[in-house]
Amino acid sequence: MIKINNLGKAYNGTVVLDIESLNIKQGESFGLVGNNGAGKTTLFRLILDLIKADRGNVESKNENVTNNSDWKNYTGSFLDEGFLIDFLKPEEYFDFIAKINSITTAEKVIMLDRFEEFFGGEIIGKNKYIRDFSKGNQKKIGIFGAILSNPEILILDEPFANLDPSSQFRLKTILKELNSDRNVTMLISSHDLNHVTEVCERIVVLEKGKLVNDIATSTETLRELEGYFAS
Amino acid sequence: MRNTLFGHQLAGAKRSPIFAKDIGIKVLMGFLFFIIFLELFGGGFYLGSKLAEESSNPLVDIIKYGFYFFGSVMLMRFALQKLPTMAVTPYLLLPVKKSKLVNFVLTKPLFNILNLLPFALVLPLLLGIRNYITSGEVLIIFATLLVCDLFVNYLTIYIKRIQIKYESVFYIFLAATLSFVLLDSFNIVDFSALSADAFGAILSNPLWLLAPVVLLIGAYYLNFNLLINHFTLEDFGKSESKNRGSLETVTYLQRFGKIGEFMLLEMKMIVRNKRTRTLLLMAPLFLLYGMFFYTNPTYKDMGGFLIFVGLFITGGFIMSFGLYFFAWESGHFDLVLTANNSYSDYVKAKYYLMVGSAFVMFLLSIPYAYFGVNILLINTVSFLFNVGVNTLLLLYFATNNEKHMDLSKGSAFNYQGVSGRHFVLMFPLLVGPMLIYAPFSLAGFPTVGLLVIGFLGLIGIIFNEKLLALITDKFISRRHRMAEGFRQK
Repeated sequence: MIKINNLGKAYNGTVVLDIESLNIKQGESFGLVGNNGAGKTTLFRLILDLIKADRGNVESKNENVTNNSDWKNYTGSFLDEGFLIDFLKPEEYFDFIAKINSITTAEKVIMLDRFEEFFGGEIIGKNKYIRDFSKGNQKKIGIFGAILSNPEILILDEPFANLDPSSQFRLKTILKELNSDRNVTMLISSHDLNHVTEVCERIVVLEKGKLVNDIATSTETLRELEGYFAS
Repeated sequence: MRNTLFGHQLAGAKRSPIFAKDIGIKVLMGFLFFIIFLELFGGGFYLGSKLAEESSNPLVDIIKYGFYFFGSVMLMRFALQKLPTMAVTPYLLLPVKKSKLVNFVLTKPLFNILNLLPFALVLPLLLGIRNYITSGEVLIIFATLLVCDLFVNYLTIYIKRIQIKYESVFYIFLAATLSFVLLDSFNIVDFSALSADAFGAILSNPLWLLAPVVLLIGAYYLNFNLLINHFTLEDFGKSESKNRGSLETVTYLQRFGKIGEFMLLEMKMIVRNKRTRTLLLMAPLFLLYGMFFYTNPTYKDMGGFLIFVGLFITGGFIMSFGLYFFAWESGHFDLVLTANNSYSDYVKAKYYLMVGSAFVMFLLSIPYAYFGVNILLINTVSFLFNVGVNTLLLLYFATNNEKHMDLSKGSAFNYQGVSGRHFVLMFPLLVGPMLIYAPFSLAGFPTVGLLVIGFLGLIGIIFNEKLLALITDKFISRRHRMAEGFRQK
């Protein structure tokens, strides 16, 4: 589904990403872990064609994402507040996303129903602009926006950060369902090893821009990862 | 403590990323200030010596204009001066008295270079009339100038700060200024006589100087109170958003598909952010330009100048927000780049928005036909040129802008996120048509000149698809750099 070839990016001479090759198969739930500055967000931005690679490329369904924007039809993403339109109300934002992706109102309502619990009654009908919501609620809005477009590939950067424990738990359920029921390919980064090992089948560890570990999740994974980051 | 605070501020200024980046602008600003100083100096001296020759009592003639002088100083400060601020939160945790911090913030404006400007005018003015005044009077004048200038300074700061929270204060200020001008120009209140009385009283009995001193203390106290009560709260960073949900029910544009969606989004953005909303409210002012120039017979036959006016009337609005394009979406630019839409639709939405607003302005300007069919013709060709050429040029050059723009802060006279290049760009947009017109006009065929301008506009309109495709290509090739710049807050 997503193929990364010899991808490199440096800022002012400091290498922030250097990946020789990485393949993400359709339907895979892919977790990305690493310390601050490991290049997680940079990798996601490169996959979403938000920054220009110094060398190499990213292919989505065998098309280079920089030259061909077909990937926008089937990719939903939320990295940070740059994906939110802060002067809209959440409802308007969801409408906008739905219209742009040709999602009907009926489909949107069904989706909203499914997320009702996740929203915890804090998002809909509040008559507030997105900019006036708390960080955690903004994150919920953004995650829903990414999923609303009914994507085949879902890319989320730190989705569990800033969420309260119940919401984290609900989000995990939602993500697992998306992966198993609709076969959505998921790319998720997280600092929290617990969450990511629970949701993802495959975990890749980045360190200073390099891929240092690539493991299929098992009961051993969490301990292995904890061992790695503690040392 | 004061020295430590001062040291932190100095370090902050020296290490600011803006300082390193915009050294060119700093140099330019410095140069401009130097020129202004020289001009004020020369102007003051000229005025003074002229008065000394012609007036029987030059001092009275000068103090007559005291109110106007301080009024203009206030407007200048309002437009140019930045609010003294300090990132105060880190200090609040330390054992420092709050009042100390407030006083520190409030002494910052004392070191503003703008404070020197009034003196740069008054000092040479007094030199010019040196034979008519005593040294005692000079002292009193300087003392008055100092106290009144500081009063104006603190009053302006207070108004500017409070308007962050209460936007209406800005319009009240505008209305007050306007009524001052109106009251004066229709001679309802004789401000020059009042001014002469007030400053004359101080000159004859310096004890009256206490009055402005009291005003100054009052203004300082207002500022002090405002800051000390709102220090810890963040409520002076954010304004209460009113007009919640404006334009929410507009569905008309949805029939245009994704282009319509983007247009609607942009319109919501204009209405719901303070900085852009001010822009919208300024738009009617462009229409009023005609009132000034068409009624004045001097300009009646200056075709070239009337084209300039026509361009402003039909295009002033698009030019003022054309400066903001792309950059004003800094906040959600990543979404724009990843959303499921083609870049060409996105660029087109902006184009139609400009065309639409120019069209509205044109319709509103039609009543000016009352001043002659010629005016109507000029405004029509200006409209065509604006739509056919200027819109596309603005869009094309907007792709060069890669500075993050913060729409939530500041309103009028806020040029954060606008680079000097923009103002350079305005020049050809406004002057270009006049240059086209000039040779025809000189050769005695002014109407042909007008038609050529209109024709150029028509060409731009006919080939808009092709030209927009060019702009889209430029946008696509620049998108990474723009996105990167917009992320740097």
